Amino acid sequence: MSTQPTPTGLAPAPAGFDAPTPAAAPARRASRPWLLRGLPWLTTLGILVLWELIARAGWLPPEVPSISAIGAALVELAPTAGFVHALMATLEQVAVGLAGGVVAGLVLGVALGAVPLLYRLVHYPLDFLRFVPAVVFLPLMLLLLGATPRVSTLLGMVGALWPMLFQTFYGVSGINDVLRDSARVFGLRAHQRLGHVVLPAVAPFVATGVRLAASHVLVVVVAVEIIASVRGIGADIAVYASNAVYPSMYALVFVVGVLGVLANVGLLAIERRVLRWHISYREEAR
Amino acid sequence: MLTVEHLRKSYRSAGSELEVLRDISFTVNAGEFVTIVGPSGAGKTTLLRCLSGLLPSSGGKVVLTETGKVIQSPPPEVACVFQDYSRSLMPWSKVGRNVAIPLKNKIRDRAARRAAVRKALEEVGLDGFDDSYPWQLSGGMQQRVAIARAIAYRPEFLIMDEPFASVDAQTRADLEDLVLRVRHDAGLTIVLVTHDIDEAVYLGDRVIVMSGRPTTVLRTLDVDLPRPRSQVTTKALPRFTELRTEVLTLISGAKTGAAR
Amino acid sequence: MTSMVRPRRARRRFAVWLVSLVVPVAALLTWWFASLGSTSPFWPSLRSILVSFQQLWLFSRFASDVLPSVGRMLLGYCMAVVLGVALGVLFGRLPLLHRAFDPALQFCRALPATALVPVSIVLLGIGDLPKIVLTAFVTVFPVLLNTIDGVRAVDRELEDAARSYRLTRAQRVLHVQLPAAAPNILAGMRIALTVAFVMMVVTELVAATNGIGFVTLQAQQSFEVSQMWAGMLLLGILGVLFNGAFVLVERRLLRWYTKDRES
Repeated sequence: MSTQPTPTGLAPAPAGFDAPTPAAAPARRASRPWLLRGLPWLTTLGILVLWELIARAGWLPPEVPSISAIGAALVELAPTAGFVHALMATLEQVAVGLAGGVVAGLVLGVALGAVPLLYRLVHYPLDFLRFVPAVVFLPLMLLLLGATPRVSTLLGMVGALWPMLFQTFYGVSGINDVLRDSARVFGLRAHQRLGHVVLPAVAPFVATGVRLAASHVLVVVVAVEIIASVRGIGADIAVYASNAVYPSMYALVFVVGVLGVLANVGLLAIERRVLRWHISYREEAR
Repeated sequence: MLTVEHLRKSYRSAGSELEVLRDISFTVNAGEFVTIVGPSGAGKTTLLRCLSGLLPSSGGKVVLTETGKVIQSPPPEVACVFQDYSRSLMPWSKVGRNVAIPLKNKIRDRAARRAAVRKALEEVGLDGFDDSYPWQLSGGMQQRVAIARAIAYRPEFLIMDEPFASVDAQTRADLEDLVLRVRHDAGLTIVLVTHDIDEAVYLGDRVIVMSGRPTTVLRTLDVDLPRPRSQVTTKALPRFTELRTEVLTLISGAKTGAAR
Repeated sequence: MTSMVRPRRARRRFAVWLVSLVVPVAALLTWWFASLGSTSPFWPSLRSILVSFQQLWLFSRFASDVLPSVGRMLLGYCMAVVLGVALGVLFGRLPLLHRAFDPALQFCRALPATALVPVSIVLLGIGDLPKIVLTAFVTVFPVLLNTIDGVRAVDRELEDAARSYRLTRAQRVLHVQLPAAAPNILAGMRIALTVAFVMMVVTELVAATNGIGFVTLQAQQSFEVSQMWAGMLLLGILGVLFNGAFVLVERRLLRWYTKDRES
């Protein structure tokens, strides 16, 4: 659970001069950095072009439209009120679910990390519940609340809670005694210890927790929208799918994918900026 | 016999070129123990990686004289012992397997392989440890495993890259004597790189003193100390002190020379 | 001395363990007794939930619904692991190839897996095949990307040793790269297992003709509330069992790693 998705980016530079570097002719050398930097985008473009060509040649089943058709559907959909409302609905469910889960996870994580007895008392139930995916509770929620956005928001909270809670807990319970003792020796007051010792030590864990929580919420919210037709992008995907409007279906899947990338890469970028000072991020930047 | 002829190596990094080895030539005779010393930062590890065929050179060549074979990739006649035993042994495999895996292509028969492993572990004083994991052993014992792995491979040449740099002084002395004994028993030819001048003089038949980067051979010294050597008596000989001082002077000179 | 200390320590550990049991036992007892006379349509008594659990899953619907659910999930998951590790080693050894496909891989990993459920139905229908294929597709990325990281981080000294002893490429993969990358690979497999389980539940809640999720949703729609609870209970137990089993296997396989770290 504590595994962090690895950041996107360049291959780490070979350590020191001692690393073997393939010899290359001087003429090729000049063109290489440009080619290297462009390579990921060239291949991605290549994949899309290949898709387009295969679709044009008629080798794909009718359920898979060409990239240009999907792009056109996206352009056409984007300004419509229906799309904007669906997007807003999904974003709202995700945002509220994430906020609720993050706050709850933080509070509980700090409490469990700071009070060992509390952790002792509840760790069995927690270890059970954390492995029950939020969508398992969906039938009950539908029964209690009906197919409303409250269901997706609530289950999104549950999805966000666990990574947040456990990351915070690892962070707080991992603050090493030396650090805490030295803060005490220097006569820092309780609130100073919180500001100077606890928060900085826990911050990277919290950041990872938020990132994991965001992608969990997205998965849960989209699932609930699809299954229960709760207003949002997920429901629209399901509608387009059952009405055989395939280009629009893929266009919306792409939109959800972009949200996923933003939740991952976007949050990681913010995290790196905010936590620049932190040693593990400094090492990464080296 | 191993001949190094005008070996050069440079690295490119971020557009600039870094010359590490500049024209290195020497020979290693069959059965000889050659030690290489140089100031820190000299391309000693680079040199050994070129010798063992792990790294392509930028010019010159390394030749196995008997067969006339030019070393371009790791040859079957050479085995290596690396500096950091904790990184060169496989922590997920037991000691016996660590020694056995390199033999897979050399000794096909399973029973024969097991016998070879047992013999090699015996030779380094680790009999009975084949069922332990490397991390259950002390640093000195782990490096013995690495040595056992090398001799089980039955090479003609043993190449050692600062093999005792990360163990304590007493263990280091023990391992030095172990290498001398193993070399005597197996008739190995050894090239050993070290930054420890005492060690270079104590172990070697010949000491090659290197300059700082870009590295050249400063001088080759014959070590005319009697064998078998002993930590107590050999190191107490006036001749030992003389040789040591000579190497030290060369290296200090190399350092100031490099700084200029 | 030591013989005196040891039982005391064991006794202490036993006491600590007892403390851990207080809350779960109390919670279960409270649930049992508080719900015993329940007339609420939504919150049936724990007793009737357990009765439904026994009637449904032990074993009348075991072969018809439990096995298909678990089978589809494990099949897709295993395909993803094999494919992900194989491709991961390839990409890990060929940095240029990895660079070239990195944006595509990152997009596929970040894409919320559940959004693809309608797509899989459009392409392949609602049988076993779309569920297996979809599970395999969405779980391959965590395995693949973690394997790449692990293989790329193999120590150079170890690679050098393997190369200097002339191990073949295949031997180096088998004896060096895969074991060295095992901690990363297993971390990826663990994430993938969670994703696979979520996909099992979601695909069956969207469209299926059998499976635990299907039975549970049917029960909810026909107001068989205690059966719905029994379904949720089984799903919860399965989620915990899969993770528990994985942790045991992982701990066994990575014993060398934790011990190596400690020493």
